[in-house]
Amino acid sequence: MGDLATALGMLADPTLVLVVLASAVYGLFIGAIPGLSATLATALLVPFVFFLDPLPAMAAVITMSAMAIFAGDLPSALVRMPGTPASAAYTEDAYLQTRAGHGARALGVALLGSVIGGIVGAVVLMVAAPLLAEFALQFTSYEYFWVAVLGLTASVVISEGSQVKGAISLLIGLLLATVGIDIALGYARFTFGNVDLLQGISFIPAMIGLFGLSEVLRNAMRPSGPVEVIRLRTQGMFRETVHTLRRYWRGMVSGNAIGSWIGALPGAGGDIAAWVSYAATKNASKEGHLFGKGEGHVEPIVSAGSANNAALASAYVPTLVFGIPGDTITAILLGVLLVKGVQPGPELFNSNAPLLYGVYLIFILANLLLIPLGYLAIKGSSWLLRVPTSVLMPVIVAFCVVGSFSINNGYLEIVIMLTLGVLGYLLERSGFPLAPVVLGLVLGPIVEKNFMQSVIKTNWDLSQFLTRPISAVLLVVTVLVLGYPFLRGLVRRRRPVDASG
Amino acid sequence: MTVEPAGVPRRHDLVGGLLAAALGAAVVLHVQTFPELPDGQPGPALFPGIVGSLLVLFGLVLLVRGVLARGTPATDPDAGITRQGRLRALAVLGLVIGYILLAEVLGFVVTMGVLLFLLMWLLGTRPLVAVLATAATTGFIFLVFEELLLVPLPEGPFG
Repeated sequence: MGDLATALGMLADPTLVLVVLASAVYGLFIGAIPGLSATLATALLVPFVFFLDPLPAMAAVITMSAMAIFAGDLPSALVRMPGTPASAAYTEDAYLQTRAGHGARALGVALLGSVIGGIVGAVVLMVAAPLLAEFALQFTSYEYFWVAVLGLTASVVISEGSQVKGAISLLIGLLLATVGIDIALGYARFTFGNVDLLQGISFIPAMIGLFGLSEVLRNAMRPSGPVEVIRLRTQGMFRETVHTLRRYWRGMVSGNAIGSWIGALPGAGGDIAAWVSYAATKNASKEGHLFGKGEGHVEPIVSAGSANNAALASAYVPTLVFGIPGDTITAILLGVLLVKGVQPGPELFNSNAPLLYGVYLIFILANLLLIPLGYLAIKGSSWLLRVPTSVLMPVIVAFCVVGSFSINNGYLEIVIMLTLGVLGYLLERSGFPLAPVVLGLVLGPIVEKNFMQSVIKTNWDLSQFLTRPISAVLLVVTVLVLGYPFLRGLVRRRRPVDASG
Repeated sequence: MTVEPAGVPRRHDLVGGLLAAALGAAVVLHVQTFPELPDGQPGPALFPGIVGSLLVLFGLVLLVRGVLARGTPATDPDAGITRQGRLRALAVLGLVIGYILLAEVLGFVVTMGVLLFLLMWLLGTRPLVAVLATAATTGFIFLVFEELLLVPLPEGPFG
């Protein structure tokens, strides 16, 4: 338990306390503004985080995202617009509940559900990560190759909308990752004579462009008008909330289970977890026919509202154990850690246990901090939602520009940010998901490095990829994941009645 | 209004598929010029070559699906985008390019100030609010990045 004591000592650092509080306020603010996602908040936070030690850096992202995902429920309930995509599944119910006069209960449930979800996800992380790490210690370059391929495959298969488009998004990310010096010969690929590009596409500016600038472009194209905010009465909120949570405890359990599971899958984060949990609750509930209509229903807020926060925490399982990000937020964080020289993986669990204990503690701390801060945010929500986008969008542009510049004090980074911003806008508008692009960018070099190391080591004996026991298992799992959409298609065709749910 | 993945008309599939396939083909052609490993095995060209080939494959799949999916009604994601909106988005890009070109000459404070004010004004902020918000943002960024994080922001004739 010496490590735990060390971790506690690290948490007492005043810089860390300040960082946690500042990122909490920032997360609540960004999350509450419709259109600004937690991923965008992460991308814009990274230039600051970049200057911090690994633990405060991770603490900032963890606290900020927990706050942002809850805050996304505020505009859902008050103006019928999800603050982040993770709230989209139950926006209709939250809004209808508010209009029927149950707004305080809806937001109270969203708040406590988020706190419980976040803590359950963190417990899943604490239990599952060390166990998986023990197992992952046996991995060699072959297994890491397959794990990365598995992550890439999964990100395409579970991507929203069309899987063909998900695949193209992933390939674009992989292609961007090949820019620069190659691992085998040190040959400059796709640099077109530009010396600064030898290092490759700088990851942080790419993320800032993909998620930050693209959102500004989308907003500039179609500015949102002034919004009408419903007034809330928060008297007796917590009593009613606790009563509701006890009544729908089944939804709470299923939401947390689904959220923790989906979050741990590579590339699928809180938004997909919330959609799946919503559908599951609707199927299981006797009152499912009332969801999304009339006065709305509080049950999907209980389940999906905790599922997205659970997913947020369990996304750190594959991130910390295998270095395979569980969602776009952890993908960005992973990119930052790699730049800072922290290589997540099973060795981390032996060599840097205090850092991991620190991360666990931060999760608990951040979610407990969400109770008072989230309550204040509910109280001040009508004020939060009146920030005009015509001021906010230019401010985001300024942070995109300066944030990209600050990574290397260079203008190439701003050009990368700008280019990826346009790319992100065009992709999203044409229905291409962005998450696989990020995964491709992060995992591309890992796939290539482990493949090249393996084949050069064995003089191109490819059979090793298939015959090593763990490799073979990972290969089979990859094939199963690839086959999943086809299998699901077959099952649906056989049982057309169930497909509607 | 339920928020679900929006349907995208075929035009986007056709153009997207075509562009992806063209990009993939260009990559596959370009990697032919990459050197091989000393033992004659493909080295730097292998990975981008595979990615390029798959881009051609999936691009063509998307293209063919777009051609075949005749008459499926889909909501147009471009609906509601006005000429004014397009101009505003172009202004965002233009101002960032302007910052890249002018920051070294005019310095951070002036260039960023102009960018912020023009953008706020273009997006419809009242001039007085825009001036105040511009001053606050520029000052905040300067303090945090230059003084706290020690990033050397570009200096101009006016500091």
